[in-house]
Amino acid sequence: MSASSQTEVTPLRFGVVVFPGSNCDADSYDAVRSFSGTTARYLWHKDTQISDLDCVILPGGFSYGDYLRCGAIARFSPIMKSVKRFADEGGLVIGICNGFQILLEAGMLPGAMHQNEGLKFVCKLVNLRVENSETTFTTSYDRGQIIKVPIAHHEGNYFIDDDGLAQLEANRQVVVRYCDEDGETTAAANPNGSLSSIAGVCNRDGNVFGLMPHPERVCDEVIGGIDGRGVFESIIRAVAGNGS
Amino acid sequence: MNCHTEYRYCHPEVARVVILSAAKDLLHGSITVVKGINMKAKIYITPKAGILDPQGLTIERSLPALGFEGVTNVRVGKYIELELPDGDSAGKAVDEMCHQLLANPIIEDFEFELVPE
Repeated sequence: MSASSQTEVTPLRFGVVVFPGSNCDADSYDAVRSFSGTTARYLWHKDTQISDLDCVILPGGFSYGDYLRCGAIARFSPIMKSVKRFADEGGLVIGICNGFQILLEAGMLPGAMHQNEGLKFVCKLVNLRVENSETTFTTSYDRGQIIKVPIAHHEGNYFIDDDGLAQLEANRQVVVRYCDEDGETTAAANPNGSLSSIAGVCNRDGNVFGLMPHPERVCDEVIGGIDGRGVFESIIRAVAGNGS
Repeated sequence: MNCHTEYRYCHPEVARVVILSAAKDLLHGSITVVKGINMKAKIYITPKAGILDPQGLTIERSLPALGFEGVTNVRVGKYIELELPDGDSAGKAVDEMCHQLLANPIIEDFEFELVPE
């Protein structure tokens, strides 16, 4: 991702992947377009040319009908080969909800999802505690800050084995956790039974981030909040910083 | 891109085509529809031992209400049947399919049997 020759303001280029069954693509598109100095384009699941982008968003939805397991089939779509290569070369990738599930199935993030502990689809506003405010995706937040972001999923029960969890903790890859209003990670504040209340993790290199909550749905006061703006602000800041 | 607006849900046929092409990738193109002996693979996928199984737990808790006491360790998995050409590599192929697509080895175990169709 070389941008060293850029002088003045170059718009930041987001790409929003659209799989058959995606349904949060327009929300993500609108969210990033609400920031000045950004461009965004939709990427169809059969596209392969994405190397011009600064950040790829895998949005929420039910890719390929969520058949077999959530994200299991999307992983084999043509664009995912390009997304993987893009990430390997240091490109920024964020997976939201179904996008997170796809990143897990693709092995681009550690762990796996199973059904919510309560077996129900859960759709509500939850509190998140920012565990690591130094990732590319969270510098706009303070460490320990509590933000309100909605969730809407049936398979958000994050699992990883003991060794994996130890590695996540050691490398500070747990980015956000479910918590109550006071920031405590109680069982009651865990909406889906996720191990260690984990709501979002990043990869070791810090350029791939996945989370179940939907920051793109809280980027405008008109629709209920702006606590999600920090995620996109952080991305924009990171890319702009790299370019200077 | 305007084609995305046509898809607010995924038609099973779209998923079928992607699965088939993924399966062909896995088998390095060796899937061919041949007129010959086919084997049926019966594949059982279950949650790994020790991993929380919310469905199994719920069923376990509901059985006593029907009068079935003492039932423990209910685990809910998947059963998949598929047919493929017979040959020395059939077992290896099914094993690969399970590893790469049909099961998620992080949370699921699988076993299968091959029977003549």
